[in-house]
Amino acid sequence: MSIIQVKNLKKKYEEFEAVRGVDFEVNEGEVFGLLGPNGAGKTTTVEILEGLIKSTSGEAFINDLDVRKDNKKVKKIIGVQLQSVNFFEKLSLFEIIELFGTLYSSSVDANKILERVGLSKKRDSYFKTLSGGQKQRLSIAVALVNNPKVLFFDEPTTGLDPQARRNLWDLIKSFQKEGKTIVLTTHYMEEAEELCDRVAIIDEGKIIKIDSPSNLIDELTKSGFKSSKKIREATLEDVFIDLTGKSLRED
Amino acid sequence: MKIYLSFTIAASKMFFRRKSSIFWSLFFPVVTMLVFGNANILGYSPPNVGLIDYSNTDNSRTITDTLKKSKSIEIKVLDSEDEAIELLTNGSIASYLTLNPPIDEINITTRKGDVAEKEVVRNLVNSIFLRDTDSITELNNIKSNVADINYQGYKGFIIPGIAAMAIMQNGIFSVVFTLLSYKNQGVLRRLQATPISPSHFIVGHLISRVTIIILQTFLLLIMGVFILGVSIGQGSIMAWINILLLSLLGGVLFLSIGLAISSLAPSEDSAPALANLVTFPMPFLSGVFFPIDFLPKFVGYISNILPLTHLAQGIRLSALYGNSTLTTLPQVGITILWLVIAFSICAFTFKWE
Repeated sequence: MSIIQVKNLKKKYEEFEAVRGVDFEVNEGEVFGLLGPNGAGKTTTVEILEGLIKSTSGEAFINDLDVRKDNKKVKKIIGVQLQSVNFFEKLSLFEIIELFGTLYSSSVDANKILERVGLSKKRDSYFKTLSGGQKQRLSIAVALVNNPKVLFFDEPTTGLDPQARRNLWDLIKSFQKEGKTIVLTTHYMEEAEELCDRVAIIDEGKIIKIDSPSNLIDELTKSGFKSSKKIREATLEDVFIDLTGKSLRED
Repeated sequence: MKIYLSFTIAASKMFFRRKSSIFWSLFFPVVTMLVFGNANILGYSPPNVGLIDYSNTDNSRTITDTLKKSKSIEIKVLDSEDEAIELLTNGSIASYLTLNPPIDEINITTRKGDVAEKEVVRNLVNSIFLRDTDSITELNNIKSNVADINYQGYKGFIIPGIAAMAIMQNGIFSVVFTLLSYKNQGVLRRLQATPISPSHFIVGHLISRVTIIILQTFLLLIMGVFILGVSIGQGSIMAWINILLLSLLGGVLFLSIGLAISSLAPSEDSAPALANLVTFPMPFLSGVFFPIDFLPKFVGYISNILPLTHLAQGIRLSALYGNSTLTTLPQVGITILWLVIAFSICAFTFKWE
């Protein structure tokens, strides 16, 4: 069962065509990755689905709602983490969650949401004082206030240290366990491999390939590709985590 | 409704948590008030004196002409005592003379407590006639009289002016700096991803600021009472209500001007510069620090157009002389006119999303 359907989606700016006819579907309960170099059209595609920008042509549905026509209804059932995160600097995290809760006219247990993302201790701190990883986790917490069916994460781990990144991975996996559907954009291939059931590889505004990470790797190796790098049992990141521990540093 | 309330509360919390906003809306105006309130700037000008010739004889006309020619006194010939009281009330003159039949007796009327003015004018009138003995036809008694208007000196003049200036600054800056920074940082964009449009936050922010501006006006005036010993409102509730009305109108007016500036600015960075261009010269041209009579005539025409002139004058009349909304109708009316203009500009040009 697919929950998101995107059909021939296009977005033209004055001189530049950011998205040139994108088609894909996302199944309910899966983590779907959008991968591609900078400027490939990942964020534009995601922001059209989030109702932040309007497509030039094509259609997109989330839970049978047209993202253009039923913009408000769509926004009620999705949770959004934007690429550049900023909240009101002089509000405490608790106040930010409560404030966003009122926007959905749903009662929110702000303490519970903050606990969920590991920010309980910071509940009375201002947004301004948070570290990069904490800001990302708050951004995810805000995305949870309406208990959304679909979550959009736009490069959530960019710029984070390995501990914070793995912590976010665990969080995203736990959302999937609850039955939420997740659309994720990322530049990190190991992240896509770890989290995504399927990925779409997008470049110059078009999707080149959609499949599960392991199928895509198999396809490449079957075609006779040999990595110039020796495959080892562990990566340098594993070494780093082994030496510095898994626990988050900022708390 | 609940959403507007939540946003208003949130915006107010952020205001009081930001040190710079407290500095600009309270600390800075109070310090300016203290510095200027204790400087006696108005004492150096030739006194503006009204004159009503009740006798209307050859002799009284000669006295009038002699006084008019003198450079040490600025005579305004008036038709009635009502007109004189009005000018005395709004500070355009500090005293007035009447020439009374049958012997062209000169009567000086000053405001309560303005002993200096009475003596200055009496001596000036005397010296003019002593110097110019040829023209003395018959200068008889000079009497003096006190009108039922309190004179509060330069302190009384500057405090309502500073309160009006603070309304302007808080209104314009809280849009051009605070609101635009939320917009530029992408804070408002995040709200766009919720079912509520960011315009709700903007409205909440504006409601919060209008409330703060009213509080700020009252706080500044009350501080004037306690720190500088000026009496405000003259015991008239209608005067306080008019101050409330004017700070509400002034708040909405200058917030609208802030919105208009931010949408008319050619780029995001140029909005603060444009705001400074508006807020820096305006107090000097609008009778905040000194009466606009002190300015060259052609500048005075500009002053009479500026919104702050009328806001400051309206608040001043109510604060110093207890004027109600009815007796400050020109000031209230022009403020409303400006509000309509500014509001229309931003309704058509401001991008709420």
